[in-house]
Amino acid sequence: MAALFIGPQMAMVALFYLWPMVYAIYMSLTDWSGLTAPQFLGLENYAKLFTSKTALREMGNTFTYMLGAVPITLLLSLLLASALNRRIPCRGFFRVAYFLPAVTMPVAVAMVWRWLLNSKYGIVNNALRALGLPAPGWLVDPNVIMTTLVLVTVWMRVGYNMIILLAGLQGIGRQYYEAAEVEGAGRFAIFFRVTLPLLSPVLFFLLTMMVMDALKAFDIIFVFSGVSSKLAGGPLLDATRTMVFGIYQNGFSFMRMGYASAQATVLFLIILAMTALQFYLQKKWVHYE
Amino acid sequence: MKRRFGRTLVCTLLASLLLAGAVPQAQATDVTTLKLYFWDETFTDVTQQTIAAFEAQNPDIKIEATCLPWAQYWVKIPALISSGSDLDLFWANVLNGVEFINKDLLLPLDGTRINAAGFTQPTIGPFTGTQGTLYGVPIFYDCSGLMYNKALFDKAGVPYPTDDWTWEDMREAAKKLTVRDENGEAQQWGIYLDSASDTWNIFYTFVYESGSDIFAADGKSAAFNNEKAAQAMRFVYDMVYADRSSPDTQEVQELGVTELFTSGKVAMIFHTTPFFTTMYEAMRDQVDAVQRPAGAREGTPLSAIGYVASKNTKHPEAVQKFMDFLATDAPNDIMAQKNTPALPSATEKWAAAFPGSNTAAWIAPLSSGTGFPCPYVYQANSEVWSLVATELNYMMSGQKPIEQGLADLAAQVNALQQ
Repeated sequence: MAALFIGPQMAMVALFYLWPMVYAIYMSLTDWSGLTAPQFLGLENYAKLFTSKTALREMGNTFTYMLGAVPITLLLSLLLASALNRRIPCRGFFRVAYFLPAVTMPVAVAMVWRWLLNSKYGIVNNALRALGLPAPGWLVDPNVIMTTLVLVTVWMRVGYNMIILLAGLQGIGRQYYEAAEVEGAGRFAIFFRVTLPLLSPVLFFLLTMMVMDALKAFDIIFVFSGVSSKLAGGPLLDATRTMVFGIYQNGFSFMRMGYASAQATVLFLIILAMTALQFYLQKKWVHYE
Repeated sequence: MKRRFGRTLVCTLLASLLLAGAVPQAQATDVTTLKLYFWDETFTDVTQQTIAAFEAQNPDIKIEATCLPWAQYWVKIPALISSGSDLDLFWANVLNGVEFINKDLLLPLDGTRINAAGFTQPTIGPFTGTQGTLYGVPIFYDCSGLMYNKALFDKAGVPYPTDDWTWEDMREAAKKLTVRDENGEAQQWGIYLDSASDTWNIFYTFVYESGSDIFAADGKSAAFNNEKAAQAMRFVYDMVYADRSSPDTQEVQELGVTELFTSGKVAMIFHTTPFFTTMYEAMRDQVDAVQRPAGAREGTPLSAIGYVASKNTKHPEAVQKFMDFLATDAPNDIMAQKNTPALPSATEKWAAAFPGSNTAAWIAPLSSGTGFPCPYVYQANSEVWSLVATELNYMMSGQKPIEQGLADLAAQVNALQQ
């Protein structure tokens, strides 16, 4: 009977997840345009991938983006969660306000940011100019655009992470704090010795998910640099193109399904390795009650 | 027992569902239905009118038209062809048409029944295979032209552009029409050159006009890595950075051409035929156009859109009838409501919608122009397009010397051709 209930679900997973995954790995060994029969190439796609300047640049950008966005988001959301866990005025309002970006459509977010960050007419640069600060070309300067993407990502993700951390904070029993206070621990000691260790399972969960998300970044690049350069190319796109963008472009613009599958397989292996590494490292810092 | 009953019930239900789907709804025996796909929603009306006119002449054929947005078009059409789905007729542009002919995915037409001679070479050429076989019929074309805002010329006391302008005339006028404030910030630009990403209006056309070819005659290698092409690109670069008559590559990315031109911030722009229609609707007699200023070589590259047919169509005879019909006056007269029709005799009907405008600027290239430069590279046209845009962007933002950019681009394009 149990099999009957699980059956349809598993059939779907097998049909729409497992089979395409296996098939993608097979496709990555072929030259296939989606039109004619695939031709078997062996590992040629992979050889090309690791010698292609564009593909290597995509990997570099993906990691830069991850190393920028993940730590900043995590630190900031931890800070906000701790602040909003205390009894401050208008606590409910702030909690909602920080969470709002998480329930807004990413494309809409990007469109509004494009206006705000317009280097000539945007509010951000007008404010910077009024303060006598330099006004960078947030969206059009290849040296700045990655920073812009990281900042917007942080703004978008901080709310969701904050809510999860808040839940985590409230799950920590009062008795630990009381005990610590009785022992005479100061505020910092309590935070680092009690709160952080007890929050570490939540932090671990968020870290793992965020690393995966960052490695799969696509929509924000597509809307920010893709639209500016009309999805065609140039310094701006080269400064921001990620691995998934490369997969999209090769697979659906250039119809190089085999090569795109090879890129997807490499990305899959990278995510797998990163996740495995985190699970290995968690033994050193994650404490379960 | 109970279990078996349940299974039987499910099976019966499923079977009846399948049967319901399989029985044709209307038993129309003699009517052939063709499936037609196009990508531009704004052409829905003219497409329906064309179909209605055809069906009136051919009551035994019905055509069902579907608009597939451009973003999915070239992903879905190949999938429909290769999966053997119902797909008979579809729009193709010059680049993709050539690509599909090379891949042997299109139905060869009986050219003797189609009045191909009524069309000019730049529009029908791309739909003709290397052996002279006809694979499609053009329905409309676009070309690049120079549009200008009359009011800004009047204000600066600069005479309007003419069809006889040269590159230098344009450059001088653009300088005079650029207005700066006391800080040197441009308040008005003489011209808008989307030098970084407009492969058509900037790269293909300027390089062609410089006298350099874009691709070798067989379409199999790059032919633009030479001094003429470099001069053309340097000319554009100097208008942007030396004269500062145009927004630069970064400014162009943040400033939309439509808003700048309609609000009188830009005096001249290069754009294609449909954009003139849009601007005319917005600005009426404040806007006019001339042919592109002449470089060393005459002739503007022209892009044509036409109908082609899937090799796997089940109704080649009905498809052929539709293609025969497309080469006649009626569908071209209908197209004239919307865009420059491919049949030269119908272009005057299009021009009638723009009284007082120099519509000849858009019509003359139909006979004097040239086919769009096409790389005959298997499976890689879109990739060539993207490479051009990438290197153009590097050259025009000053991040790469022009000669270097052209050499790199040529090397990459040639490398696609293995």
